[in-house]
Amino acid sequence: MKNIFLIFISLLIFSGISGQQSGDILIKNGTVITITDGIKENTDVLIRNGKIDQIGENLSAGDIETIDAEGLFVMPGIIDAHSHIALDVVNEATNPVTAEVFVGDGLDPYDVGIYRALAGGVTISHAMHGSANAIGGQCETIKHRYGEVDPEAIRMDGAPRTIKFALGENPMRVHGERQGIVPATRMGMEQIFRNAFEEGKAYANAQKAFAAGKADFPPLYNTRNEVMADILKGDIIIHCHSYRADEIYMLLKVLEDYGVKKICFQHVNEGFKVAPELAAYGAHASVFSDWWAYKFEVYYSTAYNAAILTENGVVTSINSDSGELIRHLYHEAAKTQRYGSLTDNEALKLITLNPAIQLGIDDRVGSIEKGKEGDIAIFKNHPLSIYAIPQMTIVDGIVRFDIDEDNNDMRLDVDPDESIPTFYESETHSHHGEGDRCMQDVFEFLNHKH
Amino acid sequence: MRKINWIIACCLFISVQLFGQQVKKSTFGDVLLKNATIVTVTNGTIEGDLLIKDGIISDIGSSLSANGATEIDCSNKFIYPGFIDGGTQLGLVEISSVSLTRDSDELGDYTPHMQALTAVNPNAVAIPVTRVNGVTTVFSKPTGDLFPGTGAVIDLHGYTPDQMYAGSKAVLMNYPSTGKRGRWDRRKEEDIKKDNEKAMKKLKDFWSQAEIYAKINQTGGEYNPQLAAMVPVVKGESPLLIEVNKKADILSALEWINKNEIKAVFTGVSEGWRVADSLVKYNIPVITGPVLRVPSRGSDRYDVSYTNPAKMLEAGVKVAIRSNETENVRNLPFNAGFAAAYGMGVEEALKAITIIPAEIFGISDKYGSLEKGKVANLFVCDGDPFETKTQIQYLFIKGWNVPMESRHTLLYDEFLERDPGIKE
Amino acid sequence: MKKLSLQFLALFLAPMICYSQVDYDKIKKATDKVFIKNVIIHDKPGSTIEYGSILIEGGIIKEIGKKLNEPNDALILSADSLHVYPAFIDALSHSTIKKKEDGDRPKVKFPGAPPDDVAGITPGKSAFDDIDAESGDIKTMRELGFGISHIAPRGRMLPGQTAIVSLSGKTKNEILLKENVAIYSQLRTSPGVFPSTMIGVLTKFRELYKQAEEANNYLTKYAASPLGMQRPAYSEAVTSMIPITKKKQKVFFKAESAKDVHRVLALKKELGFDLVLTDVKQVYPVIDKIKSSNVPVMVSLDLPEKPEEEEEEEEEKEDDKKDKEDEEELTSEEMKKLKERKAKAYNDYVSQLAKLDEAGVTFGFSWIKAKPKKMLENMQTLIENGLSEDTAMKGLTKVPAQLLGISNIVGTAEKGKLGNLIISTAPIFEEDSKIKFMIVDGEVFEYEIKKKKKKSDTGEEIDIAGTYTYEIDQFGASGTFVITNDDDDYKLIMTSADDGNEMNAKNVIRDGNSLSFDLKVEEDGFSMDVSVGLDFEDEDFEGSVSTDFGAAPIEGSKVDPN
Repeated sequence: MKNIFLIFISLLIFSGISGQQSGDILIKNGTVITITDGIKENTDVLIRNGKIDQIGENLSAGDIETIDAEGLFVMPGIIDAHSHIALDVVNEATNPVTAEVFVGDGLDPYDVGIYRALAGGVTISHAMHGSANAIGGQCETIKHRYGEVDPEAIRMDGAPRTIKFALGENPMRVHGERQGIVPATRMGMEQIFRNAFEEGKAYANAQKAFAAGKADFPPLYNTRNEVMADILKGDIIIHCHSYRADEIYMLLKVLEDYGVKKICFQHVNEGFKVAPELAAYGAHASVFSDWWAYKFEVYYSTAYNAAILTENGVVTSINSDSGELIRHLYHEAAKTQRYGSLTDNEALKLITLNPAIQLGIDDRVGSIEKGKEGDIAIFKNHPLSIYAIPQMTIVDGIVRFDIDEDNNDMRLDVDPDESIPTFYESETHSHHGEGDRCMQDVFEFLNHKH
Repeated sequence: MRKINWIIACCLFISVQLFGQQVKKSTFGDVLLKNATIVTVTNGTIEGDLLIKDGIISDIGSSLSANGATEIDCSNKFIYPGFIDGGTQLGLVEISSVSLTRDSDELGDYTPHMQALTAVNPNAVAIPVTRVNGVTTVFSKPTGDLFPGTGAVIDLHGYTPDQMYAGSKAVLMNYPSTGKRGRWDRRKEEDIKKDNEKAMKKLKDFWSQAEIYAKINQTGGEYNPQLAAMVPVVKGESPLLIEVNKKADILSALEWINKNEIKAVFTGVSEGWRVADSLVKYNIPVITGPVLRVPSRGSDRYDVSYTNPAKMLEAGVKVAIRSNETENVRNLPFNAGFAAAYGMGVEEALKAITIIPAEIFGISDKYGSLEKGKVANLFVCDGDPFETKTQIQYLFIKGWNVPMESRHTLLYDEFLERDPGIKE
Repeated sequence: MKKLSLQFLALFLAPMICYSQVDYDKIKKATDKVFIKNVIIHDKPGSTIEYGSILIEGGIIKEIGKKLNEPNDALILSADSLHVYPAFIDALSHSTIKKKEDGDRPKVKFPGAPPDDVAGITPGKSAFDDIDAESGDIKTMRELGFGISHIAPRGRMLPGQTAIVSLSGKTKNEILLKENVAIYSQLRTSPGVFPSTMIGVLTKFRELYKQAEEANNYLTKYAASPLGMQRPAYSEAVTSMIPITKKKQKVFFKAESAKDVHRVLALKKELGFDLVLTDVKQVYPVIDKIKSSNVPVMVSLDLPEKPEEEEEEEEEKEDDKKDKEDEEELTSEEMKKLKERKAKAYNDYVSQLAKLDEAGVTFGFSWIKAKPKKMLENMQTLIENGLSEDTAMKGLTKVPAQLLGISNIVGTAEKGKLGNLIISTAPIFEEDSKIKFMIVDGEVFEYEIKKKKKKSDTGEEIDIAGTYTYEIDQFGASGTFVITNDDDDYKLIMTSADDGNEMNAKNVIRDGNSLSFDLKVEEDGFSMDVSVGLDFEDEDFEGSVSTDFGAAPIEGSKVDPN
């Protein structure tokens, strides 16, 4: 017994010395918005070892970090299902199908955008490949453990694999229009998907044949086909950038043909036009709060999209796809009460439990429940009010943003050769401005005439 | 025969009603808004009635008599002046990725004579989308290069630019910047400096020509629309709107306008908080925004853009807030809401999107607050219009009762419960 | 019999007589032997041979030690009291590799599937093909103390196989020491074609590696018994990767930033190849990870610029101006904080190697990005900030030698190893130290040392007349001497402390603040001619004493007349 005790103590000490990634914290007396179990006034939340241990009144926990949340709102950490922060690379735009690349290879834990997201209550984001390709690269769900400089340390270990698909103008513009290769039309897009799935299928069959002894050698290792085969197996959730109702409908049919069920449409501006179909298929939708008209394919969309989808039974979330919007997703979610009449809980679900479901991590995060991870956002004023001000954001029981401890320059490292931090003028029109990174790297790629 | 005709006529009438778009039309007439909480902006909050007559706010008080006006009971509701956005491209850009629908940026550095009012599309889809959020009046402006053109203040109602024109225009200038244009701008510091010097020279050359032209004051003679457009600015009759953001650039712009005795309004001003004292010293009004944008420097505090308006106001600067938007000008009240939350306070933030921009554009005799004699630009809502939960029930622009309808609401109506739904 | 043997001899000699060219445009070396005497030899880390000698013959160190017999048929280097080090070994660079012109590349219909060479995937290509034997790099590197370079081809993600070259020689073959040593890889993308991003590079590397493993499998079986098996059709890119899957070759992977180090270490962990982290610039955040991964590291000396020293009282006016300028960007408090952060960042960089050493990680130096010209200057900065000279030396010699598998022939100055030596005027990392000779492969290169002007050499001649004490450590001699100045006619009388013998100096010549003279030393009936050169500065002097047995330093100072 004594030995076990000693080992336990030394483990505790050891975890304290090396980059500690989970902590103990007691949040007292807040208005706790659980999402799954209503609102609890004057309630404490106790987090131990990074997990929510207890929710109740007048909890005591001995000598651990305690936060006085009296008069404040305590909600689950916000989850952004479509983001490009913390990435050094967003688009490998050289081919309409690049399932083989993985944005997780290019994580940038130094990105101050992570801190700014934390300052908006966001604890998890889905770092995605861009929308230059019909089938883009695999994505990574990250936890905003700002302060860690090892890229491995911000991965959300165990989160399901995801991959980016893209419908709409972007892939056709990059490949068909600018490179002269298929796809140039929505008809071509369908064939790209079918072709990629068929190749994955053939590859998987060849592997099976080898395993069954029917072939001397396995098919030559091909990363892309490995990934396509994994999608067919159901191991990877597809997140598909999409706009027009007809292309959304097309993909549903293609996926149905190949037995792929795990699909979440992203942006899906015209999703409301096929809401019944989406609901029937069990497809999810992650939408903008109010972006529209910047491209022709979103000219006929509506800010009521999220409300319509929710009312029609589609699991819907609101995302940012922008380093700017991610900072106030709580405000974006609140817009569904202006453009629609979602209740408070329905609106908050759009940025907590629903994106967790879409990323396959709803068993771990997305609500304040015992056993879930200690990801919390604390607000002054109700999060859905325009006057909400995030006070503190906690990831795995460790405070990663504290409005009182902000040093203005929160960059993790500084280039000693940099004379003055660079000033960036904003672009005259928003969305396409400093926030939008869905087409990053494409400009450089397309302008390399060879 | 007649009976059949009558039936056919009926059917036709019904079919038109069923299959034609159910677009409501705006109506003009006298309206009495009763029992409301009237947020005048300039005279505090009044519980009472507001009478609209001939497109003007004819009276505000308690127990006003209708005298034939349509009565609308606004119990438990609020009346606010229509919001004014001091900087947009509304009506000038239909779809930003389709270049031929973008009319805001003409070729050439010296185009102050380009008139935004000409190119504003009164039927732009974004206009109804904007006004249903309470924004009734905007300054729509050209963009690009050094002197992009002359912007115009327009009311978001009307079928021709003249019907929309709200009586104020302003020549714009984009002050040469010493910052990087974006993350993709890979110029070295020396190159940026060189480009800036070139641009400053261009500015100085053009300005000296404008000064000469104004002095000679040509009436008739050779046609020179570029310099002619500058005359009111040179003479100090109307202010020059200067878009400038970086601290060093703001200070340089101040130096330039003082040297040349130019009456100016600064727009953008994202680093205004760093130079607020200088702005106050030279009495420069500011149209800043969007508030909802990322900080310009990686080393900046995360909320610098949220607190910028409040900091400038605190120092004594006259601050108006703009969205700088194209299709989402409707977010103006939310920009103001964030500014309110981060130090400005609700009252001042409200002023920043009503009376202050009206004053800056010289139309405060008619716009910017709920006062007798002013244009009836206002809306009725059930709460604080900065809050997203608030719904707007009625909208009036120049006395026209504008339907609370836009492409977005029509799509909502059509698709909330789609018919047919899913086919089994 | 005689006739036969003569004929036989003629036959034997004939080819030589027929084919040996007579070329009077070339100078045939006088001798193959080089003898360096009386030098301080830093033969290996932690060991010094005071005033020893080295004999090099046929490019190899034949003898090394104290009290060697001076051969009469060798080139004697006048390097008395200078410092000798084993020549540096550059762990990886592009020395001698021709620069490629990034011209117009062939148009590729499907940028997603470009030919391997367009994509920069040529792991089989040898660096030898790209060597430019007349490259100025050879001279440049050699001047800095390098004798051997490990070179990699230029290119994109997998430019090819590395080679080891000797930095002396006139033809490619003369230069080449060893070919196909290791594979060089970097996170460099191919613009316009796949892989055009860093994540594309990493994924492609993984794929090639796995394909190489499979190919190895297949080719082995095919070699054993091809009957019934399809002919293998693997690309050259794939088959050239096979040796690294078997750990027969190392992978030198360039990873400048700490983030890239993480990425490359993760790649190695996943696939299992023998990694050498190369050209790592930002070490300080990843010291622990490198230590626990047990991977050798070649560090880049591409250090940031030293931050300006602030607040000099004399320049107040300029300071005000500068302050005003600065204030135009940020508030003065922000500027202050920023300067602190930058200073800390700078400090992190310059103390990182000392910390790496403390953590027990072995490292060397590579020169892909850093300019070798700044090497000694940067090394001094690092030593000032805690790096031990021994470790620095090891990183430039022993470590790369072992890494490249050539430590049996280079890396230290030992008998039997290659005659690759640096001869410098002072300990190599000292500020004013200059390299006087480089010996590479036994060939001697001499460099002119521009004498550094002493402070008093500004035209101001000091009064050197007076009484001085002197000390010659090497001979264990000391004493005093008196200089008299009689209308620019200088005389010197030296008195030895041992026996009080007075010696009159001859040929006393003054040049600026330097004095040279000759002495005849007589001791125990033994007489020796000695010539002395002294440099005076204020009250002190230093110089050297040359005898037939070698030179020795002499120093001393003026005696207070009271």
